[in-house]
Amino acid sequence: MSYRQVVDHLDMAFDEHRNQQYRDALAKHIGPDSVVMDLGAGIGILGFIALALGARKVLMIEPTPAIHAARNVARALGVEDRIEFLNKPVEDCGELEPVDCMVSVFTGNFLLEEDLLPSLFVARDRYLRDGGILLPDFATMALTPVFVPAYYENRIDRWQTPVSGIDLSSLRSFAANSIYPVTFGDPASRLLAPAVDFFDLDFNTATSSKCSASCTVTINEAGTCHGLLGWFSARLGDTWLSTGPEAPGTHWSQVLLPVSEPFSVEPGDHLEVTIDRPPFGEWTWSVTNGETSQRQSTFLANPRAVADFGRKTEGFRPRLNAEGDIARNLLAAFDGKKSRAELADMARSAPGSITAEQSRRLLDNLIQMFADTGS
Amino acid sequence: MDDALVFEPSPDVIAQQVADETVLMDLKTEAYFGLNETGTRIWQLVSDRRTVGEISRSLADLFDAPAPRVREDMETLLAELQESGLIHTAVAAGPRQE
Repeated sequence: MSYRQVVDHLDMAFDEHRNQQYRDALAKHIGPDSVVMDLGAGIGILGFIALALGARKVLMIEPTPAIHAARNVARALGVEDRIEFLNKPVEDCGELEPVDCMVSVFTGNFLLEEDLLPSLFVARDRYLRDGGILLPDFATMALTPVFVPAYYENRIDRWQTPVSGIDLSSLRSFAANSIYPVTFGDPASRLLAPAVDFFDLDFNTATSSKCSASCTVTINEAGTCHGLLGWFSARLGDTWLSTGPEAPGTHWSQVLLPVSEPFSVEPGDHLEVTIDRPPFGEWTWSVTNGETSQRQSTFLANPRAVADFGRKTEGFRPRLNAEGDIARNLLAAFDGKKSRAELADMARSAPGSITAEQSRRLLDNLIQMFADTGS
Repeated sequence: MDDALVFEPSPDVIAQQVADETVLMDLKTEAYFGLNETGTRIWQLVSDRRTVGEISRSLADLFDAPAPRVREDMETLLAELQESGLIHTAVAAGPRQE
């Protein structure tokens, strides 16, 4: 999910159930001297809740332009003087005062996929004072096999139906290896087993968000297994915020991890499930039912060309292309003296085969990524 | 390499073929490995648990190249795949039904 536009924050900001859970947890840990870090603040709603509860100061850390919307809200609320805005990744924040409470929403639909937790671990080690609290500070991931015939037909088997006379069935395997955000609730759908918590992550001590877990699921309802429904729960102080199918709705979805070949199950059947996902990597899941095992991976969700992956191998020896050559010269000219217009002229007149549009985009990207704006 | 030797893909490897090329991902090491057209054919034959001798003959037929050269290239690739942990020798290579 991208949160670069202010409107992207609507569903999360107006998720009253989530907000109330965070508010209740913050209320138990905030006093008049509290300094709170709102990590990945977005438009700042959790930071504003902390201030409303009496926190002395909030550090809002948000690398996207959404933080400027938070500034506007702060001005309207008259609390600007109690907030320090940091428009950069937490890894770039340098020295800050230690905080008593670090609040974050670094959890994707299936906990890990937004890959923000490594940044939380960095922030924790640098800025959380001894005895300070993380909200949330612990998370679990859960799954259960599901019967979702209509969804499966619409999203996966649909590829087998010719469209405009064209057979696209060779693309079905990409669909069967993709993960889908779903909100469980179709009356024709059923959970086929009690949920199993298969992975825990203690944010207080974790140094990696790598998931490599296995579990056994015992079927309690006959049906066809179309895949696994997955979700997470996060601990906020002494309460849990669950995004599961039987919990109150939130802006998070559950996820469907499909199997390629749906299969029948009976009460008492045991399914062996494995889930693997390295940080910033691919999800791989397997479901074994007796002698039959199926393994899916998001690695297979998109076509891969050898040329693309060659770049990821250890032996790859990169060489600058024409654009890279210009980028190197532009970066060397980021000396705090040359104006953007001068740099744009430099990019446009550089020898090489890139277009004017490419040179403009290149300069934009370099400024976005590497220019010190002093904020 | 012994003609009767049989390799098989490591259970931790996922392969994706696009056109004549194959990309391998090793779940354990999170490393990627690319195979060209010849490598892809070798990977298919390894996946089918063919012996080294059978792979060698199949490649010689397919590419119409001198057998010693095909054999040398095949052995180089198999050794590289084995060293990278992407394949290993099959534990029990029983008779295969044609």
